[in-house]
Amino acid sequence: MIGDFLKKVVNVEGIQGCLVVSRDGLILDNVGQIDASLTSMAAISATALGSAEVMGETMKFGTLQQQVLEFDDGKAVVQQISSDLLLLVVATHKANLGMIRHTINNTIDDLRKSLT
Amino acid sequence: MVDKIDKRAVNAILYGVSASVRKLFGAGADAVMRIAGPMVLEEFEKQGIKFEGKTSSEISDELKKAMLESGMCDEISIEETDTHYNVNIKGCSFWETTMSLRELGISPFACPFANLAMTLLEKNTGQVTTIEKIEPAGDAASLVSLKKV
Repeated sequence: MIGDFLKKVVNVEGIQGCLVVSRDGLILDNVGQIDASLTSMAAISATALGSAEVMGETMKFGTLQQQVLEFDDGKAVVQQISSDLLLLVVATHKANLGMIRHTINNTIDDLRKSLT
Repeated sequence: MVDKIDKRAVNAILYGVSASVRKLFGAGADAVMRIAGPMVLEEFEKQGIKFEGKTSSEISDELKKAMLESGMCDEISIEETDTHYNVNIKGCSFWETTMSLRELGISPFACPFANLAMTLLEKNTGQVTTIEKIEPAGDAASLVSLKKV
Protein backbone atom coordinates (compact mmCIF):
# COMPACT_ATOMS: atom_id res chain seq x y z
CA MET A 1 0.00 0.00 0.00
CA ILE A 2 2.74 2.48 0.99
CA GLY A 3 4.73 1.19 -1.96
CA ASP A 4 1.96 2.29 -4.38
CA PHE A 5 2.30 5.89 -3.21
CA LEU A 6 6.06 5.73 -3.39
CA LYS A 7 5.88 4.41 -6.95
CA LYS A 8 3.90 7.51 -7.98
CA VAL A 9 6.73 9.64 -6.61
CA VAL A 10 9.55 7.74 -8.32
CA ASN A 11 7.72 7.98 -11.65
CA VAL A 12 8.74 11.63 -11.79
CA GLU A 13 11.69 12.15 -14.11
CA GLY A 14 14.97 12.34 -12.27
CA ILE A 15 13.79 10.85 -8.99
CA GLN A 16 16.00 7.93 -8.10
CA GLY A 17 14.17 6.63 -5.11
CA CYS A 18 12.24 7.38 -1.99
CA LEU A 19 11.93 5.95 1.48
CA VAL A 20 9.44 6.11 4.32
CA VAL A 21 11.47 6.27 7.50
CA SER A 22 10.55 6.31 11.19
CA ARG A 23 11.93 9.17 13.24
CA ASP A 24 14.33 6.76 14.92
CA GLY A 25 15.83 5.94 11.53
CA LEU A 26 14.12 2.69 10.63
CA ILE A 27 13.12 2.09 6.98
CA LEU A 28 9.44 1.16 6.66
CA ASP A 29 9.38 0.97 2.89
CA ASN A 30 11.45 2.04 -0.10
CA VAL A 31 11.11 2.20 -3.87
CA GLY A 32 13.66 2.93 -6.59
CA GLN A 33 17.43 2.75 -6.80
CA ILE A 34 19.55 4.93 -4.55
CA ASP A 35 23.30 4.48 -4.85
CA ALA A 36 24.03 4.67 -1.13
CA SER A 37 23.48 2.68 2.05
CA LEU A 38 19.74 2.95 2.71
CA THR A 39 20.29 2.26 6.40
CA SER A 40 22.62 5.25 6.62
CA MET A 41 20.34 7.41 4.48
CA ALA A 42 17.41 6.64 6.76
CA ALA A 43 19.29 7.63 9.91
CA ILE A 44 20.80 10.71 8.25
CA SER A 45 17.41 11.93 6.98
CA ALA A 46 15.92 11.51 10.45
CA THR A 47 18.72 13.50 12.07
CA ALA A 48 18.67 16.10 9.27
CA LEU A 49 14.95 16.67 9.75
CA GLY A 50 15.46 16.73 13.51
CA SER A 51 18.16 19.38 13.40
CA ALA A 52 16.13 21.49 10.95
CA GLU A 53 13.15 21.28 13.31
CA VAL A 54 15.34 22.41 16.19
CA MET A 55 16.49 25.34 14.06
CA GLY A 56 12.87 26.26 13.36
CA GLU A 57 11.99 26.06 17.05
CA THR A 58 15.01 28.17 17.96
CA MET A 59 13.99 30.82 15.44
CA LYS A 60 10.30 30.48 16.42
CA PHE A 61 9.38 29.56 12.84
CA GLY A 62 6.77 26.99 13.84
CA THR A 63 6.46 23.48 12.48
CA LEU A 64 8.81 22.29 9.76
CA GLN A 65 6.99 20.92 6.73
CA GLN A 66 9.71 20.11 4.27
CA GLN A 67 13.47 20.25 3.90
CA VAL A 68 15.02 20.76 0.46
CA LEU A 69 18.68 19.95 -0.09
CA GLU A 70 20.50 20.83 -3.30
CA PHE A 71 23.96 19.45 -4.01
CA ASP A 72 26.27 19.68 -7.01
CA ASP A 73 25.26 16.22 -8.17
CA GLY A 74 21.83 15.64 -6.72
CA LYS A 75 18.82 16.77 -4.79
CA ALA A 76 17.01 15.46 -1.75
CA VAL A 77 13.72 16.41 -0.15
CA VAL A 78 12.80 15.37 3.37
CA GLN A 79 9.09 15.68 4.06
CA GLN A 80 7.42 15.36 7.43
CA ILE A 81 4.66 12.72 7.22
CA SER A 82 3.73 12.70 10.89
CA SER A 83 5.42 13.16 14.25
CA ASP A 84 6.73 9.60 13.85
CA LEU A 85 7.47 9.32 10.14
CA LEU A 86 9.19 11.11 7.28
CA LEU A 87 9.52 10.74 3.54
CA LEU A 88 12.93 11.00 1.90
CA VAL A 89 13.03 11.63 -1.86
CA VAL A 90 16.37 11.41 -3.66
CA ALA A 91 16.83 12.78 -7.19
CA THR A 92 19.50 13.57 -9.76
CA HIS A 93 20.73 17.15 -10.10
CA LYS A 94 18.74 17.44 -13.34
CA ALA A 95 15.41 16.66 -11.69
CA ASN A 96 12.94 19.51 -11.58
CA LEU A 97 12.59 20.57 -7.96
CA GLY A 98 9.19 22.13 -8.56
CA MET A 99 7.90 18.87 -10.01
CA ILE A 100 9.33 16.90 -7.10
CA ARG A 101 7.62 19.16 -4.58
CA HIS A 102 4.37 19.20 -6.57
CA THR A 103 4.32 15.39 -6.65
CA ILE A 104 5.07 15.14 -2.93
CA ASN A 105 2.35 17.67 -2.12
CA ASN A 106 -0.15 15.74 -4.26
CA THR A 107 0.76 12.43 -2.68
CA ILE A 108 1.45 13.22 0.95
CA ASP A 109 -2.16 13.36 2.17
CA ASP A 110 -2.97 9.94 0.72
CA LEU A 111 0.27 8.59 2.17
CA ARG A 112 -0.64 9.97 5.58
CA LYS A 113 -4.10 8.39 5.40
CA SER A 114 -2.63 5.02 4.43
CA LEU A 115 -0.29 5.12 7.40
CA THR A 116 -2.87 6.01 10.06
CA MET B 1 47.89 4.30 33.04
CA VAL B 2 44.96 3.40 35.28
CA ASP B 3 42.62 0.64 34.12
CA LYS B 4 39.54 1.94 35.93
CA ILE B 5 37.99 5.39 36.07
CA ASP B 6 35.47 7.02 38.38
CA LYS B 7 31.99 6.32 37.03
CA ARG B 8 31.01 9.90 37.88
CA ALA B 9 33.31 11.03 35.06
CA VAL B 10 31.71 8.56 32.64
CA ASN B 11 28.25 9.74 33.71
CA ALA B 12 29.21 13.38 33.18
CA ILE B 13 30.50 12.66 29.68
CA LEU B 14 27.52 10.51 28.75
CA TYR B 15 25.16 13.17 30.06
CA GLY B 16 26.89 15.95 28.10
CA VAL B 17 26.97 13.98 24.86
CA SER B 18 23.37 12.76 25.21
CA ALA B 19 21.93 16.17 26.10
CA SER B 20 23.78 17.91 23.29
CA VAL B 21 22.81 15.29 20.69
CA ARG B 22 19.18 15.75 21.74
CA LYS B 23 19.58 19.52 21.63
CA LEU B 24 21.05 19.42 18.10
CA PHE B 25 18.94 16.69 16.52
CA GLY B 26 15.68 16.87 18.47
CA ALA B 27 13.50 13.87 17.64
CA GLY B 28 16.21 12.70 15.23
CA ALA B 29 18.52 11.90 18.17
CA ASP B 30 17.04 8.40 18.34
CA ALA B 31 18.28 7.76 14.81
CA VAL B 32 21.84 8.58 15.90
CA MET B 33 21.74 5.50 18.06
CA ARG B 34 20.88 3.23 15.11
CA ILE B 35 24.27 4.17 13.72
CA ALA B 36 26.03 4.25 17.10
CA GLY B 37 24.86 0.77 18.15
CA PRO B 38 26.75 -1.21 15.49
CA MET B 39 29.82 0.98 16.01
CA VAL B 40 29.81 0.34 19.76
CA LEU B 41 29.46 -3.36 19.07
CA GLU B 42 32.36 -3.24 16.61
CA GLU B 43 34.50 -1.58 19.27
CA PHE B 44 33.55 -4.21 21.84
CA GLU B 45 34.56 -6.91 19.36
CA LYS B 46 37.89 -5.20 18.68
CA GLN B 47 38.52 -5.45 22.39
CA GLY B 48 37.83 -9.16 22.32
CA ILE B 49 34.26 -9.06 23.66
CA LYS B 50 32.26 -11.06 21.15
CA PHE B 51 28.54 -11.76 21.07
CA GLU B 52 27.69 -14.84 19.05
CA GLY B 53 24.36 -15.93 20.54
CA LYS B 54 21.69 -16.72 17.96
CA THR B 55 18.65 -16.58 20.23
CA SER B 56 17.42 -13.88 22.58
CA SER B 57 18.19 -16.18 25.50
CA GLU B 58 21.80 -16.73 24.38
CA ILE B 59 22.21 -13.03 23.69
CA SER B 60 20.81 -12.26 27.14
CA ASP B 61 23.41 -14.53 28.76
CA GLU B 62 26.30 -13.06 26.75
CA LEU B 63 25.17 -9.51 27.39
CA LYS B 64 24.87 -10.21 31.11
CA LYS B 65 28.39 -11.62 31.25
CA ALA B 66 29.90 -8.68 29.35
CA MET B 67 27.96 -5.98 31.21
CA LEU B 68 28.66 -7.41 34.66
CA GLU B 69 32.34 -7.97 33.94
CA SER B 70 32.73 -4.39 32.71
CA GLY B 71 30.83 -2.99 35.69
CA MET B 72 28.10 -1.44 33.56
CA CYS B 73 25.32 -2.91 35.71
CA ASP B 74 24.63 -5.49 38.41
CA GLU B 75 22.00 -7.45 36.51
CA ILE B 76 20.57 -7.55 33.00
CA SER B 77 18.21 -9.94 31.25
CA ILE B 78 16.25 -10.02 28.01
CA GLU B 79 12.78 -11.58 28.02
CA GLU B 80 11.06 -12.25 24.72
CA THR B 81 7.32 -12.06 24.12
CA ASP B 82 5.40 -12.38 20.85
CA THR B 83 5.65 -8.66 20.18
CA HIS B 84 8.51 -7.33 22.34
CA TYR B 85 11.82 -7.89 23.98
CA ASN B 86 11.89 -6.57 27.54
CA VAL B 87 15.33 -5.69 28.80
CA ASN B 88 15.53 -5.48 32.60
CA ILE B 89 18.51 -3.65 34.04
CA LYS B 90 19.37 -3.43 37.72
CA GLY B 91 22.21 -1.60 39.42
CA CYS B 92 22.74 0.63 36.37
CA SER B 93 26.10 2.42 36.50
CA PHE B 94 24.67 5.24 34.37
CA TRP B 95 21.74 5.97 36.65
CA GLU B 96 22.95 9.50 37.41
CA THR B 97 22.93 10.25 33.67
CA THR B 98 19.47 8.74 33.31
CA MET B 99 18.06 10.86 36.13
CA SER B 100 19.78 14.06 34.99
CA LEU B 101 18.41 13.60 31.46
CA ARG B 102 14.92 12.90 32.78
CA GLU B 103 15.11 16.15 34.78
CA LEU B 104 15.60 17.91 31.42
CA GLY B 105 12.64 16.00 29.98
CA ILE B 106 14.92 13.84 27.83
CA SER B 107 14.34 10.10 27.59
CA PRO B 108 17.66 8.23 27.98
CA PHE B 109 17.76 7.45 24.26
CA ALA B 110 21.49 6.71 24.39
CA CYS B 111 20.99 3.94 26.98
CA PRO B 112 23.88 1.57 26.18
CA PHE B 113 21.89 -1.48 27.28
CA ALA B 114 18.96 -0.63 25.02
CA ASN B 115 21.21 0.07 22.09
CA LEU B 116 23.42 -2.97 22.54
CA ALA B 117 20.39 -5.26 22.93
CA MET B 118 18.70 -3.73 19.88
CA THR B 119 21.87 -4.00 17.77
CA LEU B 120 22.62 -7.58 18.83
CA LEU B 121 19.06 -8.78 18.27
CA GLU B 122 19.07 -7.34 14.77
CA LYS B 123 22.56 -8.55 13.89
CA ASN B 124 22.34 -12.04 15.38
CA THR B 125 18.66 -12.97 15.03
CA GLY B 126 17.57 -10.68 12.18
CA GLN B 127 14.76 -9.22 14.28
CA VAL B 128 14.54 -5.47 13.81
CA THR B 129 13.20 -3.55 16.80
CA THR B 130 12.43 -0.04 17.86
CA ILE B 131 12.70 1.38 21.37
CA GLU B 132 9.12 1.74 22.58
CA LYS B 133 9.96 3.00 26.05
CA ILE B 134 12.66 3.18 28.65
CA GLU B 135 11.19 3.59 32.09
CA PRO B 136 12.50 3.52 35.65
CA ALA B 137 11.81 0.25 37.45
CA GLY B 138 13.08 1.02 40.95
CA ASP B 139 16.32 2.46 42.26
CA ALA B 140 19.03 2.32 39.57
CA ALA B 141 16.80 -0.03 37.58
CA SER B 142 15.18 0.36 34.18
CA LEU B 143 12.84 -1.55 31.95
CA VAL B 144 13.51 -1.15 28.23
CA SER B 145 10.74 -2.26 25.89
CA LEU B 146 11.93 -3.08 22.39
CA LYS B 147 9.04 -3.52 19.99
CA LYS B 148 9.49 -6.05 17.18
CA VAL B 149 9.07 -4.42 13.77
